[in-house]
Amino acid sequence: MKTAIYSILKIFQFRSKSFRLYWILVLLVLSLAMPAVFLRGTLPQNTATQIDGLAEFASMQGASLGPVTWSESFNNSSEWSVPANPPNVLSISGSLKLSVTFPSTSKAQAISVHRNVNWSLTEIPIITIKARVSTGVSYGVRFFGVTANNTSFAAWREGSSLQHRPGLGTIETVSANLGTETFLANPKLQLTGARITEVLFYLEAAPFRSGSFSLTLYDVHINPTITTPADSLELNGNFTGLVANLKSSVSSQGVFQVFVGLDIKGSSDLSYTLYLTRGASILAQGYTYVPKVATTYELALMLPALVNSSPLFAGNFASSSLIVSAWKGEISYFRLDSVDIRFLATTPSPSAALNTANYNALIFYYFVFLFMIPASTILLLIKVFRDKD
Amino acid sequence: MGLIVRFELASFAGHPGDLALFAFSSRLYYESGQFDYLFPSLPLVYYVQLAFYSFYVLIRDTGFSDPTFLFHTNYMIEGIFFRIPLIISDVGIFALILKFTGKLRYAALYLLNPLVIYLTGAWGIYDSLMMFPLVAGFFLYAQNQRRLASISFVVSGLFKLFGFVPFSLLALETLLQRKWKEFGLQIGSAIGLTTLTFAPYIGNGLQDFYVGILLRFLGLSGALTRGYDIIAIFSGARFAGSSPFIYVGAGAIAILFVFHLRRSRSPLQVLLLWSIVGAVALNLFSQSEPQWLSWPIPLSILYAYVTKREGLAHYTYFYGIASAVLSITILQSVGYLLLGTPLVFFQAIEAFQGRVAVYSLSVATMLLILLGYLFLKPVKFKIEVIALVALVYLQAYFWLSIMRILPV
Repeated sequence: MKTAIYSILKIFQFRSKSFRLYWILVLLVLSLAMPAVFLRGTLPQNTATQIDGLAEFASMQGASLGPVTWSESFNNSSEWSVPANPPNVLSISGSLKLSVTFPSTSKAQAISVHRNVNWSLTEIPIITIKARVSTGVSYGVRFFGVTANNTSFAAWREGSSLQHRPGLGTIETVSANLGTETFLANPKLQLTGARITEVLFYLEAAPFRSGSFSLTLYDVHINPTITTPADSLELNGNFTGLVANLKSSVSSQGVFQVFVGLDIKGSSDLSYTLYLTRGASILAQGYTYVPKVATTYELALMLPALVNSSPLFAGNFASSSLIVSAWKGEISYFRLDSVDIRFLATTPSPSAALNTANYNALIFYYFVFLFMIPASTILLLIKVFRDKD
Repeated sequence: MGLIVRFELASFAGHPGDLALFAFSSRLYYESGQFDYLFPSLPLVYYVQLAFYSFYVLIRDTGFSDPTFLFHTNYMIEGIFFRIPLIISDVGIFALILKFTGKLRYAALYLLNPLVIYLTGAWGIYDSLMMFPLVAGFFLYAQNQRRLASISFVVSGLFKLFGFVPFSLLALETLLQRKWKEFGLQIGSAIGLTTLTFAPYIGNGLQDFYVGILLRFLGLSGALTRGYDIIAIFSGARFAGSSPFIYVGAGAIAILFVFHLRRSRSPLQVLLLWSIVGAVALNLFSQSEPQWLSWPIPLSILYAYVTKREGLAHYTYFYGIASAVLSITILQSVGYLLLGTPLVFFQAIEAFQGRVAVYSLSVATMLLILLGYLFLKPVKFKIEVIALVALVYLQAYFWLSIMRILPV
């Protein structure tokens, strides 16, 4: 006990090395900490902001695919139309196969096959397509419809994931929300009473691409969206998606990060992704998540840079929504705990083109300071001190 | 010279993603007074950043207008203020290695290591903040100040969790020596310091930290993100943070540490060795971020001095150069830290197919060579090692990128 007290007192002996070091350290920590305490909240700029998304919460509903309301049987060739040129063969027997030979030419070439349909957009239909397309060409699907007062519209747009898809040579399944596709192509359109009246599939070849290619459709069907409203921030059931609508639209400028705290349970093969939307546009997307063993709580992060897909279910087109889309499995329980939307003011990009030729000098400068100077110094030091030794 | 190159690079380069995160957290605090409970790393890093950023706030309060550079997300002088604590840490490590070894060239091998300069000066990532108390811990341990060493390791761990590796080994050593009071003090101080660090989070963001950072580090997170380690690349597995193999590694290291300790006369040597092996294991079996490759460097220099393995010390320099080149060219693109946006300058070495697999193979080779320098008899650093690593890189490039024998 005496030894312990003595050793502690030794530190506080004036002029002892430990005493001086101790007080230097204390002063150092205080001099760094004090400004951080007193300057808090004093910077007049407003470049970093965070809003509580839960304060903007309006409603939440679970979403799932209803029973199939329409399915292509591929047993009536008269329902499908294809032009005579370029020369092609269309066979329909349990599936649809469009085979075409593109000659070599300096222009891009395309062929399409289409049929009339009658799909109501009021039910927010989800289309699922199972197809195989030859490699070397691209394909896409386009929709056309009419409004309640018979005004025609095109329900597709460039930039959609349904356009110019590269042929993989293997069977792939694609799903899309026809309501979202229509809205993105026609933001001012009234969907109530509108119908999709034509679906068109096309094959396209780039200039100088020639040869025989085919598009085979194995399945095309429509499911309506079934929504189950939640009374609060919590939902039980079996859903493929969850949509939490906010009261207003989130600004699309400067969205930096979105953190969502949620509790989720589902089937053992559940994997899901979160999206933040403004209307039908995706502002931010999260990673793919799976349920954890340790806890049902997840802190999901969404970033604008991660946007590379779109959810199957849409939110409120007039505001912003948080959408949880299950790629596999089903969600049986969901509770929204927190939503933090962060904005960071973006700096204007330089006007000079992003071209390597503009920055060669900078690269050279960079490598000189990063590699050449340090390495030369080290070689010199080793030589000098080795000779000395 | 080490200071000059760091400040020079810090003035125009920076990781646009990481610095944007740090800038957001600091600006949120100083603009609106909000404490960022969702800071993307451990709280001690945040506190240090806030402390040094306060001086930048003083400058901004005088009306100073900070410009941006090219496509960078942060302001130029702002970026330098984020680097100041890192540069101070690097200088501190330099001083510690100099005091420990008495050899300027050993200390210079750290301060002028391109990987360390790249991380501190160009990138702006905070691994140096972790390494300074880590190296201090070994320094204190060598002076038989075990309690202070233990505290130093805990502080290191509170910057980045790797610091808890030597702390755990030290605690294990204390346990084996049946020094129960000492063990209790070590654990108690670790708990106390950790509680103090996390005090602001209690009642506010502890659950978010647990899920967002701790579980991710332990490989129990729900997010499917890809790591750069060789296991994840070639198995196609998507490990959320650490892979399950890390637990096997942790167990093996603990057992081998105990065996080695019983046979060795130099506990410092044993602690250093198995801490380095722990760093190598994390780089091979877990998420393996490129900045983690810097952890073995100062420890290997210390170990090289203690065991008279000059070849190892010199190898760490080549290891740093190669790691920096691989990270810059393959993982980021040459333009990323410079311009603030990805831009490929050298297509052949930056934008080739299978490049991450080539990176992981090359890094794994260098780590295995490091293990060789640690465990085999002391040898000089030879030019053939450079040729060997280059050969592995070229072979991997040929088979994985050109011949595409595997779909990686």
